Amino acid sequence: MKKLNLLKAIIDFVWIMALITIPVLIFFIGYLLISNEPFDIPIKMNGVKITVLNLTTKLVLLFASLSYLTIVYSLYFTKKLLKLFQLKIIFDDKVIHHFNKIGVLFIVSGFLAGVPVFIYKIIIREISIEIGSNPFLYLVSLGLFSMVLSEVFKIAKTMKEENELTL
Amino acid sequence: MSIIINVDVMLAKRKMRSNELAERIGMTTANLSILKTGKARAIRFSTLEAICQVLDCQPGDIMEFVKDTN
Repeated sequence: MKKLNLLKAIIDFVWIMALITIPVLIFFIGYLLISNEPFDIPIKMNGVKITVLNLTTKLVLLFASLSYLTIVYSLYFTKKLLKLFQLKIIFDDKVIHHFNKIGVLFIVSGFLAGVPVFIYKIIIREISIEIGSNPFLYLVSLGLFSMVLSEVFKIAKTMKEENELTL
Repeated sequence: MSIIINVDVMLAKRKMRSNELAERIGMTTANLSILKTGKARAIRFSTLEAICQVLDCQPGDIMEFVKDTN
């Protein structure tokens, strides 16, 4: 189980880093949403550069921050899931629930990040076809994969129970 | 479930105790209890054969089908 321990260590590290960045992010986004002064530092988000702060860009920033928070929340469930795996609790209702929750959160995060940016691109007339890495598709695919895993674990749990009750 | 397990009846007829049967068929008493209470989902032919051999009976003597009223 070395791989599991390594993964748990990485997820724990990312989780701690995320916990540190959340207050900073909330403060920064809060400041940007409230202030009407021009902001000199350009912000790049999902391939879109935001230089002018108006209501639209503020909304896009807000949704991007919400997407990040959703990812952090899914990280929390991933941490719990890995802890269960370490305790050798595998075919359990909690594992099924966590996988499903992670999947839903990934999909929500994908939409929260992807849809506002897409709308923003339409508004600023910068529609382009992106071939290659697309965070929206990655997040939705990962979310669906996690939900499929949840279903697979549900079937595995039933099979395990049947096996245990076969005398 | 519509399959009723009558191991208890056969045990009484043969004047045998549960733990003795469990020991002779190589099953734990906990598993035999699962079988007796009808919680088991399935039974292997080998287990059925062992029970029948020890209790000197037919499979129909230890289980019966009862139509579900629902």
